Amino acid sequence: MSQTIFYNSQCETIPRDGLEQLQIERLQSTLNRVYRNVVFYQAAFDSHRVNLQKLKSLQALRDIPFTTRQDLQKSYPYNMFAVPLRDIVRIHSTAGTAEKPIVVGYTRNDLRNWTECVARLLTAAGITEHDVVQIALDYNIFAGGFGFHQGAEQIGATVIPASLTTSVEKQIMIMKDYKTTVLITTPSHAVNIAAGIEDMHVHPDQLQLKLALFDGEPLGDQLRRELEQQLHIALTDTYGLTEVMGPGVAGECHARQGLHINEDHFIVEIINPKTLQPVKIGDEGELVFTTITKEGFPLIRYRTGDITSLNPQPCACGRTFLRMAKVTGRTDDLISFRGVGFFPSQIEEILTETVGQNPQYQIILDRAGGVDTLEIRLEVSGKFPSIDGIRALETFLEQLAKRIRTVLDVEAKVTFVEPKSLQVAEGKGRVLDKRPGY
Amino acid sequence: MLRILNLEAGYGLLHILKGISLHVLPGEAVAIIGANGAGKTTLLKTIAGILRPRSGTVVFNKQEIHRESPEKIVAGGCSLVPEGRHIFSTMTVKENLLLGAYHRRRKCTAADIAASMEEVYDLFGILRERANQLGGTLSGGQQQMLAIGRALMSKPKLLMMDEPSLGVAPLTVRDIYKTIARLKQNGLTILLVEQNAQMALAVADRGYVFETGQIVLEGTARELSDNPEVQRAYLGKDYQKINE
Repeated sequence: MSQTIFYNSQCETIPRDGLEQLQIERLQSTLNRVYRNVVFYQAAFDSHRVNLQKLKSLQALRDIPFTTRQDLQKSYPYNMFAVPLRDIVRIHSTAGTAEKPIVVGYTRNDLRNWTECVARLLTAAGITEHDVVQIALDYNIFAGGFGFHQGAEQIGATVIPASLTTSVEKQIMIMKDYKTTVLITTPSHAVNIAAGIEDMHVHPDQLQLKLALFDGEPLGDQLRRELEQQLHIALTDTYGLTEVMGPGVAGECHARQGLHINEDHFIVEIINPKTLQPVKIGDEGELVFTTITKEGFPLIRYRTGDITSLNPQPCACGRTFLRMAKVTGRTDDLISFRGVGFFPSQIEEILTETVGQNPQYQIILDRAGGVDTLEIRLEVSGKFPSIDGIRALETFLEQLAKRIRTVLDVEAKVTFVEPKSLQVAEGKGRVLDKRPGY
Repeated sequence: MLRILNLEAGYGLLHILKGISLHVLPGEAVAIIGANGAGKTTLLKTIAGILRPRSGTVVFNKQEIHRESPEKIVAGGCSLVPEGRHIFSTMTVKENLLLGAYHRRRKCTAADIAASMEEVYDLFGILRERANQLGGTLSGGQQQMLAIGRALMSKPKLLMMDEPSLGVAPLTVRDIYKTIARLKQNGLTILLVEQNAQMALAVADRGYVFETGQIVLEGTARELSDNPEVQRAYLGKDYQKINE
């Protein structure tokens, strides 16, 4: 195995006892800070009778209450910030308007740490200053594009902010002519590109591409193998979520045996989502993060809803950070679609406001030509506003799709079906996910 | 080199340090900044063994020292330059320095100690000139140099300094900090307590911010200097407030 290259070897190979000291110091100062500066945490700690002076070990973190997605949504927009707004230099947010998005603020130091975290995982993936990195991710209010961009620039790579708005043909043209060596995108867009390469009769060997990094959606094993074969490249998985930081939370090294978590910035726990008790190390459960360096938007025991497990065994690459397995599922019904996460309840809310109470609908996710598709089938009912003529019907459906796009930033196709034709039960049956690998 | 976990200490009923955890790596300079009464001096006194902690551990060079006596701690390689200097004003500069090497009196030869004294004189030329003058007749800055020199005479591995800029003329403060930077370059590990945050962060690698006996912020010196909260509270960059 080739020799490991580190971005910051002092941090990434820190002995476990040194790391533990660092974590407890940073945890204590973070807790002291949030207790002083964030009303939510002050109330939460007080109501759980948490005495911060008694928090003397990392295990004692268990006595501190969890923070949930709902807590963050209730604090919309700025109530979870631990610094005044004038100290915030960047804002990102999660999707949604009806069900409140989560707004995340970064201070200058937060941006610097974020950049470092991304630079580390890019380096771990094998990217150096000699690489040409094409970033086909959205550069918008979601954190993905900017996160990877900063990190790639930091390590000195040549960065092409291709973004997702560029057509597949143009992406492939850039890839071929600009001699891209690394592609950073979502799995579904990579499928598009792979299909496009075939259509345009470009042989993968005509490209300089050697590596792809994925963000936004879980990467299925089968899809991974297919893409590796189609594009003649190695794939590296990363993990990150906007609430915690964005990309940069964890990433695979060249050993590709799990994703190293940047533990000098985050304390990670796995809990049983039902009992909320910690599980045995190595067992599967819900991933919980505590940020220990963030100034603007610190999170204490944030329940991510992602199901995974931790591997404490030392890694061949020499990094001492724990590894997390690929996320295998969710504790809730969050749908991950082209890098955007949304809940069925958010769709229902939009339908309710346009067509009235209790809409009968089904959400169908599929993949056509390598692209994720979202279809919403809606039962016609007597309660609908009167629609006469095909023209009016089309306008109505278009408006509905437009509303979904405005609120959730996802492209959906809305169709009508016969009354009572959808035999869907409440809850999970409403979502039909036909995408391979899900 | 130094690893402190959940340290609590105080005076009588006064609870000053409320669970302090921090570490200093070999060769590092670490600054502790904070307002008056935040517990910075109490921390140094507790590490030096002058004050007994109520709970928590202080590990220095892999040995627990929080139950040791001050003289043992000095002999172990951890010296304090106290706030207000505390030099012996009725003794000469040379005698003050010799006392700093007191714990080495049986372990080392006179030549060793003389060599150490030469090193101190090289560092602070003024002390050589005033070697036979009484300590009390020196200026504030010179006394501070003498206090640092005295601590260095014990051949410390970790040098703790409590407010070396206090009561010293601004120009001399610059000299003292230049010397601190030089000591660090020579490989000495330094734990520095300062209200003059700008000076301290300029020489330090990392820092901790104390507030009422707790650490509320830690990070590299650059991170702390860039932190707007630190800038407002300790670096005097509060001009924006006037407009708001």
